[in-house]
Amino acid sequence: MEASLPGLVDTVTEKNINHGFGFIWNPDFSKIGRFSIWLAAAGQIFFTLSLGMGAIACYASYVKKDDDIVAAGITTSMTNETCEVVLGGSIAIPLAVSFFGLSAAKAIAEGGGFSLAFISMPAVFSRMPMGQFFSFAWFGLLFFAGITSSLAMGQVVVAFLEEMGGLSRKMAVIVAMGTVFVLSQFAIFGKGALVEMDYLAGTFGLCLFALFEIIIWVHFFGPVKGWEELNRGSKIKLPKFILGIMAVVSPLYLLVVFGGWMIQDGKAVLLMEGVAEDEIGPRWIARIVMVVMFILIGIIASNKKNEELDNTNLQHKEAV
Amino acid sequence: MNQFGWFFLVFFWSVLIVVTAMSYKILLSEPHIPMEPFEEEEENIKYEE
Repeated sequence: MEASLPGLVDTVTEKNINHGFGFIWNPDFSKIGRFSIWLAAAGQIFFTLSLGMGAIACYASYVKKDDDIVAAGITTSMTNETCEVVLGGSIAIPLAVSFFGLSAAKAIAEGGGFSLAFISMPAVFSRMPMGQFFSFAWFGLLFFAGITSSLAMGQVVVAFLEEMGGLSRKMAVIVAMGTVFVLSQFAIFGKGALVEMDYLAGTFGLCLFALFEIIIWVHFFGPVKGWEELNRGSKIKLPKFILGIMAVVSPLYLLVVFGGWMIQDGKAVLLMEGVAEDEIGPRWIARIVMVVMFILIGIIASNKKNEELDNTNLQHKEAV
Repeated sequence: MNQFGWFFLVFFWSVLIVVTAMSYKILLSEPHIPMEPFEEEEENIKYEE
């Protein structure tokens, strides 16, 4: 279609915008009993706030002892949610519905965020006046969003290899980025591998590690000590029931969601029921690669721990 | 968009915008924390231990 302002106005009519907002905001109460929806929602929250992954450890390491983490935490999460829900939610999906119609937009949205960013938005820009400029701005901003998050996540991997693997900083960066380069080839060339990796790491993995983090926080750090740390230097005094939510409700909620998901969808996801024939191979390779990576990380960490225990025992013997 | 959709849209937009504005007001009312040299950061970590 010829890119022109009247063309754009014709497409983005009030009715179409209404459909677009309806697509994203109309609740489908029939889906409320599906644990996969709850798992996806929890995964999205953890992903968007960088919880359950290394990035938050990187950001937290810059916090000083008496910094106000309550105000900073609320401001960060609320700014993020406002940008996503109010601004982002008003642009990408409603625009896709306005341009392609409800059924086509549904198919795009079912393809996940990648389809939305890399298929629907370029098609929208191609039909907009000054589309090339907006396309450049969109992908430029997407690049900066990706690279800044990658820095925070990459730093944790580099620090892990330095401290646990005993590598120099230069070598740790080469190993970490080399691994990312090699693994990204699966995502690029293996059909379905990116979706599998995204699901395992970005939805399932985030919820699983968030559950681990909460359990570790409750049992090893202690809720009372944690509450003191949280409130030190904070201007906003959090109500006490928040402690109950953090220590009891959050782990229980995640356990229930995981349990329900295992019963409802666990077998189908594990056996890849309904997955296209040509995607099964690459998806299994992606799974195996991720499990091997996980085991390798465990081996490196346990070796370091054994080394530390040996050193402690040696010092103890020498002292005796 | 149906009435539930409008309810959720208005509710979430209002909560998000109001809480974001309030949190910024509180955060920006705090004195600016100057950057400290690395030595002091290390002392801070030792104190924590």
